Amino acid sequence: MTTDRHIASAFDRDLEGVQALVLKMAGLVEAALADAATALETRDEAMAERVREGDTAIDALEEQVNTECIRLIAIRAPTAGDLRTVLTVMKIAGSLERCGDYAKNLAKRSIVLAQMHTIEGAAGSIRRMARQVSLLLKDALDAFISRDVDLAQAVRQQDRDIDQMYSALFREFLTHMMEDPRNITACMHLHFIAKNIERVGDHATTIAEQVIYLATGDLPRDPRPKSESVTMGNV
Amino acid sequence: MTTVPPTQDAVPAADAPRVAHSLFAPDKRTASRNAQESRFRAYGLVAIVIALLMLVWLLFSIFSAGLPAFRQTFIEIPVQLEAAVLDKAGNGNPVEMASVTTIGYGKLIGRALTAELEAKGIDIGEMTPKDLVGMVSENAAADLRDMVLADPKLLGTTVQFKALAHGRIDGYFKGRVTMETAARDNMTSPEKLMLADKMVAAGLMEMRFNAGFLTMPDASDKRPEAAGLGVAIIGSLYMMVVVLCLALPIGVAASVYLEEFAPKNRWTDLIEVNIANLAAVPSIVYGILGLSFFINFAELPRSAPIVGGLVLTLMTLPRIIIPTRAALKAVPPSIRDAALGVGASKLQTVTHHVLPLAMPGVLTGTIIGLAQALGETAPLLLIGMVAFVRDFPGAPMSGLFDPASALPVQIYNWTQRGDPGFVERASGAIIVLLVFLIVMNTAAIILRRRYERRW
Amino acid sequence: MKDIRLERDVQTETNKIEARKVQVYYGTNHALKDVDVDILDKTVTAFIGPSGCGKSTFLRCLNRMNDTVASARVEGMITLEGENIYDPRVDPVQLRAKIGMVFQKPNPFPKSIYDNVAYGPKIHGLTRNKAELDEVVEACLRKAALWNEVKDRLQSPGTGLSGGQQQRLCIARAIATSPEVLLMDEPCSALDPIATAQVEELIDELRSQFSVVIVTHSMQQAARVSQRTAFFHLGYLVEYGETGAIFTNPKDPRTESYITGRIG
Repeated sequence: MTTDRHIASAFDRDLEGVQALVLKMAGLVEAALADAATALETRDEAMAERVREGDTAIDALEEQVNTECIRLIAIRAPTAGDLRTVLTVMKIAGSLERCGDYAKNLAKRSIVLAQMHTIEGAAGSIRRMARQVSLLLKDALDAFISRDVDLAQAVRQQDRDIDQMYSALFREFLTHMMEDPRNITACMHLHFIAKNIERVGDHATTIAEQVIYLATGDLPRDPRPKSESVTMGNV
Repeated sequence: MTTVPPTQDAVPAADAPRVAHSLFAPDKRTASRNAQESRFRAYGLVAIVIALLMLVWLLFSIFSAGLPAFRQTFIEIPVQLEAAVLDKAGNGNPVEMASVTTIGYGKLIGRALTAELEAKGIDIGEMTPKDLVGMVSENAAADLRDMVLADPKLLGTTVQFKALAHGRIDGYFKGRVTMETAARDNMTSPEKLMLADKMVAAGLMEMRFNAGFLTMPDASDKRPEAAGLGVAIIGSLYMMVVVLCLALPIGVAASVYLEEFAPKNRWTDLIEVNIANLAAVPSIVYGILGLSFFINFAELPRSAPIVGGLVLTLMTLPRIIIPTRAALKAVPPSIRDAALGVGASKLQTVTHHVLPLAMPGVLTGTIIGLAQALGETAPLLLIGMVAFVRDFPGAPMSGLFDPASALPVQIYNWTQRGDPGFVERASGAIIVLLVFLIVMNTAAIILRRRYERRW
Repeated sequence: MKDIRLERDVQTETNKIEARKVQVYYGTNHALKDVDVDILDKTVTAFIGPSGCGKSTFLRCLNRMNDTVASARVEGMITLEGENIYDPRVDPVQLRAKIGMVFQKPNPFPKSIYDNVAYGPKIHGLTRNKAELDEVVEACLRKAALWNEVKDRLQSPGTGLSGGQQQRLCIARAIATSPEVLLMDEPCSALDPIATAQVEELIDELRSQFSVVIVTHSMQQAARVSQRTAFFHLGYLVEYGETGAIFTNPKDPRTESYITGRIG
């Protein structure tokens, strides 16, 4: 990727502007995830409420990114690396908006869970998983900022860990549900929470793949490393 | 249904298979085209060769006839200016000395010659001093008289006098006159020719470069050796100055007005057509115009450079206006737009930008117009410049009103004279005229090359 | 006005030039019909449209260059800061010092670079002495992003520069008279892409001091360089609005057809 400035400085400013918007979005999403996980653990309904309301800002940012990218394409007619940059930004914004929705969902369910009795160890595991996924997301965005292909590949690999954590939690919740049918409601909520967090990990992978496309011009050829053995039927 | 549809034989022309034709195989049409082209080139070459041959013939005949005019035979002898003969009153007063005519001076020359020939030991046979005077140009006495009257202090001294030899003697050395023709000639004789040979051997007579051909005024019929182009050159010069001072500003101003300021309507179209026609009007018509207007109506003196200059100005104006307009038109409109866009007025645009860019074209047109005017004869004949003019016209401005001659007119004049010595003079004058014309046209070409396409 | 650009925020509220019901006739040909438009101050306004649609004609009305065409007749009103420029009291020569023009083909005078820029101030008497003139020339060449390239050869002929440099010299010449509006008639159509980009960046910088009206046959150029765009078609002003809106969501179907390449 060339580091020269465009002769038209406004073009540079436009590109930097949309990228800044996306990074701002990423910050909000990371904070939302962390806060939602904390709210679940500490049963803090107020915090969860704040996360739910905060999702509006994330959606608004996504809309703004889209509008600006369309305007950029119409006015600047970007080509080559610039075009891939704009498309990547739009896709990242879409992924981040979904992640924001998952965080909101987490917050919603944690409010419900706060009324029920605790499942042992669940909140801690979820908190650990959420933190892991948050780091993964951060890595993906860092790879985007520095156009680092190796980091993006690493993100793709590390998503396997998230998948494994999800499988472990899945088995754990099944165990809890089989032990005591009164746990079923809570565990179902927790399960959905875990699933959503795993989805965030998948989105981080998508972002990483877009970064590879942006940097090299091709999507990665090898299939995604997946480790969701639970869905394959081996429990 | 017995007719067989003609499918096999009559293949439609559009579907006929293309005959494979190699590029290397010659085409009939190519051969005839090439032959046509070589014939055309041959014709062109022949035409050029004929033109060049004509040119060579012209130059050869002119130069062979005219170059001798630049060399002249001179006799150089000491002449004693006896006061007794020249200054009868004895008081050194030029006015009274003027009463002594050229005959008296002629006698002195005769005595000087006799003395000199004796001193050199040349036998003059039965020739009298009067005969001896016949060796010298008839102009010599007049020259000597002018010399003494200009400087009376020379009285009584002996001066080294450079006299022109007689036209026939000069002709003898240049091959025009031979012993046979001299026998029949009443202006010379075979004895004089033989004496001339002896004088050359003794160093008294020799052929020299004759700068006087360009500086001396015209001379009368019998004295071709003394005839010069001085008056004609001055006259032509004055006329060219008049033409330059009048035609250039008027022509350029008219062109600028017509091209930049005049509205484009029927009147300006009419003017344009008329200017183009004026350039083609025969020059003798301008002579008639000059005669009727400048000489009869305005009562300017005949044969004066001012009248010649005015007539030539009228003739040269269209020849300056047409190239000037072309030069103005050639200035790209983007320059005008640029100047107007910056806020220049129309006049500023023209004077600061358009005219300087058009100037090379204007100057080329002017120089060529001047060169053409230099060679015009017909109008000058009609305004009376064909007369014999001996006195140099004075300095400008009053000198413009003195009678003068002009180069082409002088050439015409000399060809009308009887003495064969004038043939040489006329050819020499043609050479001078040609040199001026070549110099002016070369200047025009150099200017054009140097300033072409500066934008 | 909403502008994504993080810097270069300029005040663009006032109208510099207002045109009302402008008609232009070339002989009997009604070339421009009923044009109403407001050119904002410190803004780049682009005129786009297919060939022969009247955009150059209208541009040339703004500095009365149509006066030089014998058969042209202009009706309607065009005001510069409230004063009608076609009022009989107005001297077109003076007007053209306030409204500068840059043409399609770079046309520097065949004089030195210095004289090219100095010509305007000289004939309008804008400077008092040579020192002031030198300052004006340097300032204009700096503004035109040409100073560093020519400061050692101010006396060499302007025609010896490259195409892009010549056009920047013409821009420097046009701004030397401190105009309020700069008109540009397809200024980049004779330039290569790099020179074009340099001139466009220059126009963006000049925006903070002048209003610029640029006629261009390249829609992409209009999109890149302008804040307001006017679309002309068959002598009519079809649509006029903010550039981003025109290129993402034009209101008139003719505009959309032209921009998407379906007509013109």
